[in-house]
Amino acid sequence: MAGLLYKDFAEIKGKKLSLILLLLTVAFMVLRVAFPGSDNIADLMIEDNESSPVNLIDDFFILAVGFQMFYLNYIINYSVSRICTADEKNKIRGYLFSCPLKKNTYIASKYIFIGIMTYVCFSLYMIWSVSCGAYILTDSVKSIDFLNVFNAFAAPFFSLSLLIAGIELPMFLLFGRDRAMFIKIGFIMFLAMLVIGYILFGDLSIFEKIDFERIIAWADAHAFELMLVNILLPLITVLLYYGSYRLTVAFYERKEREYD
Amino acid sequence: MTDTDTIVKEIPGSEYDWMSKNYSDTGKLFIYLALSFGLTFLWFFLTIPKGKTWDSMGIAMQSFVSLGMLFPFISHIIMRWITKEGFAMTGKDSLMLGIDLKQGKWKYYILALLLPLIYTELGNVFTLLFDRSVYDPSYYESLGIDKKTLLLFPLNAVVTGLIGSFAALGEEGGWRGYMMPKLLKIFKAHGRIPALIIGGIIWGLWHAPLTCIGHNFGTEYFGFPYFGIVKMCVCCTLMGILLTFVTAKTHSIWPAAFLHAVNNASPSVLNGYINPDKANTNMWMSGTLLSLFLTVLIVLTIWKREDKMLGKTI
Repeated sequence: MAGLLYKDFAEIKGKKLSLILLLLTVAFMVLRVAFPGSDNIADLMIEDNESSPVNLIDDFFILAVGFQMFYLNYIINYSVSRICTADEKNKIRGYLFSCPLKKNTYIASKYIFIGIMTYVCFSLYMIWSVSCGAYILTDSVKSIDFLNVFNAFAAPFFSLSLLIAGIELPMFLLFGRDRAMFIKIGFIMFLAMLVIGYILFGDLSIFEKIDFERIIAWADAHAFELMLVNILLPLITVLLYYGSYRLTVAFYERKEREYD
Repeated sequence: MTDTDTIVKEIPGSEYDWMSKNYSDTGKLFIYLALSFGLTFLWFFLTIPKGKTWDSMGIAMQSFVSLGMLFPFISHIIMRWITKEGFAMTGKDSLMLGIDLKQGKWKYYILALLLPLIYTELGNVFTLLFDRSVYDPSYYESLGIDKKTLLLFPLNAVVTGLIGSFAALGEEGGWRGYMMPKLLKIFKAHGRIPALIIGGIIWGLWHAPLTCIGHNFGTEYFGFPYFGIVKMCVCCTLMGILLTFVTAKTHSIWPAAFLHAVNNASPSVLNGYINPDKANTNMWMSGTLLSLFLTVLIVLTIWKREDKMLGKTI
């Protein structure tokens, strides 16, 4: 198993990627400490609607945290297709199945690898978020709320990435690279068409009615329900991910029998 | 570089070859401790705002300072690079990062998740028995939470402990992943108890800068901060025994990381009914310390019995 995991790690150029992410994280932390929200640079200080001070340096770093969240999720998504397509391209599977190796070990290695990646990426996001939050201007309620919005979405967002991986992995393993890519790109294009269609012909005025303060007030009033969702979401995600693994193993074994 | 340099570099034991020197286990341990303490104390020195106590620095800054928990594991990685001990994930003298649930090892993972719930809740029961004045039936309201939400706290601690265990993994990767195996090897002839006690004291002393700014016990107690550091060493020794037990049983640092993370999340419903502002000033009358002590006694008894069955000595 360790060998299979290392193969996937090498496949995504893991050492280079780890080094880049590590350097980015250190650079972000150094910059955040060097430019805290308490720095009173006149041109960067503004006031919100309630006359509370907002330091634009804070908002810049919060946006960087948000960008990092999307980037890390992109890495997870990219890794799923990379580790499957590379095996197919290099005819690894044929070689592995000639070895004394159970078929579900190979599939499990893929699922475990993506699980580890999600854990590592989520941990990295937490380090960025904690570093950013520590130096926000204390009086800036808006900036703190801004970061809290990203933090509230982080766990569901990474859970979603794991769920998408739970759909993509069986597609790549069962249908092969070409068909899986066809389905994936087709689905993304369909979603893009829906969005473009809505922008062109839909009612955009609903976005003007979105009131973040009301959302935050609603969240405060429904702390119990939100905590329940926060507890159940990771558990349900892991259960579905495990279900996806079991299904893939079952179908893979059937496929191999038919092939034999 | 000249040809002579290249040749000298390749001679084992030459001045150029200091990284492949054969360090003794004691030597490795001392270098590791110097690295771990040095890096962490430097982090605390750089990040703790001057003149602030733990409570006055705010939750966001507390979390940032707590990232110092990652340095024991970072030091472990550096040590392996220096001493060329290799980076095997599983097996003997490895990083112990593998997860194996077979041969009944899954029990210890469940135990790691549930044990903090039991001793924290039990500890709060003892606290209420020791000092009735701390009981405040509406304290949870002052924390801004309702009764229903309070009931979810233990479950929330387990889930957040699992998914946000990276900081605890940072500590366990160093203390249980490197320090304890070395200590157990050094004290092999004397049984594991001396190693567990020395490991706990080292771990407690590592927390000293935080204890000095009021982490865990505040600043309003007799003998501040020295008695706080002593109490931290006692707590760390007791916790260290539980953490070493689950690590030894699973050959993995993951259950220790989970136990540590759930423990740090204070998974207790009774926390919402105990007002620390009303607590007496005697820091040694601690219910949590007593319940932790009882849990450790039970765990040590089980450990000893299992060892006897396997023919080992404690």
